[in-house]
Amino acid sequence: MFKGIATEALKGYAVWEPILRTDDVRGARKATTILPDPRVRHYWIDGQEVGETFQAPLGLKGEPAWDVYLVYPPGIEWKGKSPPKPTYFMHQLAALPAARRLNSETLAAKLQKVLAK
Amino acid sequence: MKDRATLVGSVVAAILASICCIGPLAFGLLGIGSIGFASALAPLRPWLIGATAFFLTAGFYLAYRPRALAACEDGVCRPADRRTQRVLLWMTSALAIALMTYPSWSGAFDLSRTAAGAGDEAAGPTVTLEISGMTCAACGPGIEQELLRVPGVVGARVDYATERAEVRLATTAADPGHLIAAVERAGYKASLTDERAAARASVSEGPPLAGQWRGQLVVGEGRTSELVVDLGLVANRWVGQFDLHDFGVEDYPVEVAFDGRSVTLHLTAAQIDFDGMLSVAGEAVAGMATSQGHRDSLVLKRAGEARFSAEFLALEKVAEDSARVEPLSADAAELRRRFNEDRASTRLVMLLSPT
Repeated sequence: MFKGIATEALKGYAVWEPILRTDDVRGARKATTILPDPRVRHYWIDGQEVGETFQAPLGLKGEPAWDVYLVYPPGIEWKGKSPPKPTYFMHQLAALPAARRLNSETLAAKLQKVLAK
Repeated sequence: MKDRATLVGSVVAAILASICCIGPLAFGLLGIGSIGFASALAPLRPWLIGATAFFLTAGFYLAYRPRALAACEDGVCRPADRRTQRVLLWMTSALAIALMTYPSWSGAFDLSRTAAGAGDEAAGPTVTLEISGMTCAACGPGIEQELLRVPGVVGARVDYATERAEVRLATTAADPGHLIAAVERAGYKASLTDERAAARASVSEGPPLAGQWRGQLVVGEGRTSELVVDLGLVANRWVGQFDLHDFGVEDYPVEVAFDGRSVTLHLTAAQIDFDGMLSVAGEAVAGMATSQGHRDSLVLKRAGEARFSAEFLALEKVAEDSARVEPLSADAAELRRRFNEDRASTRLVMLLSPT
């Protein structure tokens, strides 16, 4: 996805969190190889607190947010404790609308559209 | 024939009666240490002394009883020559008495001074053990020899009168459990006292582990990364943290267990378990590290050690193009700060499971 969008105006933040029993920081380090773009910063949170923080902007209940992708256009700030609502998001969860299931081409197109504005 | 059997019997009984004490001395002089057999005979000592007395009494009776007339031949009674028998009997008696009373004069052969001498030269903590089961001062050398075999022990002195052993340790620790086991190997009992518990505390909570330690990990093909572990004692509890700079792991906590010379580190975030032993000089902790099914030797050296040498842990290969992973706090403050700093950009936030 990042490979196809060659602009420094796009920043990515990958928050790796322990959802499955086998998830750990070593796994996170290994997983960074699937997102080897210098524009992406990688974080490891040893708990699900951040995933829970992102429940509200996604309208997610019952489980922490994970395998979700939130798009924010320029100018939006994160004020307060809760993150801002994204202008667009995609996911791989059963609890969120199926229409927003991850499709990398759709997500890339959405990002291109936001960047073009 | 009967006379000779009586003499031999009294000497054997006397030797057995005294072997619990003279045995360790003899073994000590021979340099083969104490043997539990000697101390095991101690409870039988009163019976063996009785047997010695019986044999000697019988011997004196046979040596000095009036001769039977049957000794007269051809109407001439020749005085029997029992001089040799009597001389032997007296010599045997002297030997038996010497052996039986050995505990009261055995101090003259107290080898403990030799054993303790080495300890006096070295500074270090002292542990006092209470010993039970000793029947004489000669039991000490055997106990001392066993104690001196324990790693970290530089001196040992057993005092029969107070039934105590004073054990001097190197600056690093020797587990009191090992000291007790050494006493038991010598055939005696030892038990913990408050004094020893205090000594143990001073040994295990002292400074030996405090400070920064460094080791090298193999993390790829020919690629190494420095492991830095800081350990300290806070409120009587060992605490620590570690860094693996190449992987963005900094100030991660280490679970530390330190008992005697035994050191266990659990590097939670890196899933590395390390079981090692602190060297006597305290300059290194050497042991085995385990990480996700891999197991290899690892030596952590004190930072600044001139003799720093790398020994490698064959960790699973980490992808060479893996990116730096920053730790994130529960309130996501780092992410929030970065997100706002990048406000001029389009941003994609991804929350992901590594698996």
